[in-house]
Amino acid sequence: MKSVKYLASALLVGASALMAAGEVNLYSHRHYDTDRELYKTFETQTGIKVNVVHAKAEELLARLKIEGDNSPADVFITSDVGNLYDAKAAGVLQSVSSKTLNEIIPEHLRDTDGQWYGLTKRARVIMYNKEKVDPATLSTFEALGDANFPYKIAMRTSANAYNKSLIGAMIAHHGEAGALAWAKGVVANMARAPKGNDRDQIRAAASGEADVAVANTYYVGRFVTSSDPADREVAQKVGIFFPNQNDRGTHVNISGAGVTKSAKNKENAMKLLEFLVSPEAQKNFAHANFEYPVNSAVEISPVVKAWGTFKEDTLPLSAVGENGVKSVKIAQEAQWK
Amino acid sequence: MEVNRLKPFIAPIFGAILSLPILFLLAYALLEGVSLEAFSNLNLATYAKSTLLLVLGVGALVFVFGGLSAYLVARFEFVGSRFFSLSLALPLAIPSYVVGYAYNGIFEYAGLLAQLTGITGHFSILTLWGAIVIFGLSMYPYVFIVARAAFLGLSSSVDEVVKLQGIGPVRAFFRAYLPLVYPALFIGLFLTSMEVISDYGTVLYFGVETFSVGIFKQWFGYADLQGAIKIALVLMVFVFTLLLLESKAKARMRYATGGFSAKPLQKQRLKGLKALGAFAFCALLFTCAFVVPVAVLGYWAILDPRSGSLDLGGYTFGTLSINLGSAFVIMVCAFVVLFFTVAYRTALAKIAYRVSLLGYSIPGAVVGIGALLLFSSIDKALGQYWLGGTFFVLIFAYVVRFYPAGVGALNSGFSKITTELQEASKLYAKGEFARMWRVSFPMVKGAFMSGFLIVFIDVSKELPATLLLRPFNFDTLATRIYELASNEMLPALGLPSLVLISMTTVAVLLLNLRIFR
Repeated sequence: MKSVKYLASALLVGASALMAAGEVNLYSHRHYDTDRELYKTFETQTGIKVNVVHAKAEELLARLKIEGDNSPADVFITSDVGNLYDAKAAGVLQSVSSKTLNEIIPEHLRDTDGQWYGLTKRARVIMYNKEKVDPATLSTFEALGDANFPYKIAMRTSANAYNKSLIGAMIAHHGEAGALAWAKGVVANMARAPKGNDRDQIRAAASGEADVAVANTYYVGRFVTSSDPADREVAQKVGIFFPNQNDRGTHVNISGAGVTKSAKNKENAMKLLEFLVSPEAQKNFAHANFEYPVNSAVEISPVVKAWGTFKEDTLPLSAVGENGVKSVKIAQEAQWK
Repeated sequence: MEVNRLKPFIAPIFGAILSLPILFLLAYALLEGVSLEAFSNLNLATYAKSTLLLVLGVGALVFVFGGLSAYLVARFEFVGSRFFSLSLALPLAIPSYVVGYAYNGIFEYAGLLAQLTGITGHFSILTLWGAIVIFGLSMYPYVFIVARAAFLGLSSSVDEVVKLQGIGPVRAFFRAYLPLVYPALFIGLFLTSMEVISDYGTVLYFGVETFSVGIFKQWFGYADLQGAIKIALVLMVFVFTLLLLESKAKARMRYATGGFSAKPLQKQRLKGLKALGAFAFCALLFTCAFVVPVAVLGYWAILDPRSGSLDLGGYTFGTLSINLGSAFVIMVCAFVVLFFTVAYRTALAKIAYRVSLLGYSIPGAVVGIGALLLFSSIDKALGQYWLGGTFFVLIFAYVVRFYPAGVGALNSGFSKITTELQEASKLYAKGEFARMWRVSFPMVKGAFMSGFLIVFIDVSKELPATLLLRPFNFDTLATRIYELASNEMLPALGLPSLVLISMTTVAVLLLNLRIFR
């Protein structure tokens, strides 16, 4: 039955592409099952069919650039502000404005020209091995690069978008020279050469291979609720520390979306974006994937609540995105693999 | 008449079409401007070193795993030898990245091993050496399959010589058998090397910086397309060298097979410790390469059946239809092109043939972007969005990428069609089409089927090009597994992986039966 349905929907997509009405086409780097459910809800509420291609942000961006005005995509959805900034810089997005979006999404989490909007927040924090590290000895991101930092760090490669943005934020706060000195310090304090994903960094801290790890919080949410006992054990071993609470606040990234320049279904695209910041959709984002909602009217998930509240860095994310190229240079100079 | 004049050019034209995506990439890079000094900032030494170490390490492992097991099951009888003849090819059905996920699930902190034994530590397999072992386990069947066929083909006269000389089995292996099957082993090693070089998922997960990773890092991580293309160029030089070595080995094999006789050897019965040793080696290899990963996936499937089973029917249907379709298209292309290459052996055809084989070594995503560039340009020229985002583009990329595998298999069939036979067939069947269909095809039918199965298995495991080029709302099992892995939901990928493996296992078994008959 499923396959018949599948074939039918494939044919429908083909047919409806010709009419280009009553649908919206997404290029998305987010590929959680819960997102699929959200799109289904949107479809039933509005009658607008949602078509999706999932791939890595960088690959989708390459596809958008190459396709240019011919691109069938209406909306580009991805994690990390760097990717959104790159899309804006490549000229594949357009400025849109909506009262709903501007009211709900805080100013620092959206583009000044309305080319991209944050949908969820992702806090990048320090996670520590509860047995080896006294959280009272942790303080700021800056301290990670300190020659006297007493712990060994596990961190992903510098090519990873989250780290690129973190370095970008450091440049915004301390200038290029300051960020370079910091990056060199971090590399010197690493427990091992960068490898693996965020999950692997957290594991390294849990196992004691490293003392602390830098990762996004929602991964711990997934460890806590995992069906795999190995994951749950990792979650028990690590604590979450929100850095920079006494100054600017913890670095926050987003997953976000923009309407493409080539959008043939702009109206539907706007409806979808507005739907995605509605309390219903935001609750789904926040509760299913343990992210922080951008809509302040929506409560965070109980799992996330257990980590406590924190002060977030309100540095405009466009400033972080702007530093992408500089971040790469700094990482290379610091020999951050 | 017009059509007739074109015939010698059919093979070269096809070769040219297959190289178009790469040519478009180059053109794109040139249009954006090229700076030569940038070669020094590309970390080429790192990529070359990692790639070389990986290729050599994996080569050594698959040589031992595949060569020795093939020798054992082809020349001896012992408990389970018949079972192992078939089953030792099965790991070919599991994508390397899935084997990697499974083994990391065992050895990672608090992983399955720690849960079973209570020992916790931080032993990590995510290293170059870990990657070598994973590739060794998942790719030795490439050697096993060809080596077993070669060992089976050895004539009894070899054994008679061995007996007359009175040399022991170990020396006999190295002095008599190995030199004879060496070319076949080399072809297996070549296939493995190509797979390792173009792999992306496994090396990325294990943190090994090969050329393939370098291309992605430069392109997407550092937004430097020109740099990425330069790395790809260096890689292609690397691969061309391997291709040259391979064609030399093929020439030697033709010479070596000349000595094979029609009277095959009786298998030798092993007893006592020797039988035990042979059994233990095969059993251990099969367990590590197939049973363990499948068991881990099975465990995960039980742990998390919910998200794993989501729309599994749709993914399976998508995978089957696109894979069968593209395998068929690839084999028809390979057949037609080889037919014309054999019929019109021009220098141009030979060059085109070599060039069209390059796709195998180029990472899928590079082929994908090239295809995207190519068809977007056509779309732009037409002023219509006709080709982009269609199955046509996806299948084209598969053809570029896996055509060499199909040709490789089919070539063995065509090598039987001698010039005399060709001349004779002209009397028997009038016209190219009739000769193709009534003379050539029946002669290479077996090789065609083998090629079809090999391509089907390869396409099933393909990932980056599929991710990049697939049309809206189209998912395959491979893309689904990738999604779940990149969301770091390992238990959820158990079920779709098992479905994918079952599908490819059927193909591997059919292939194995075909080749071993």
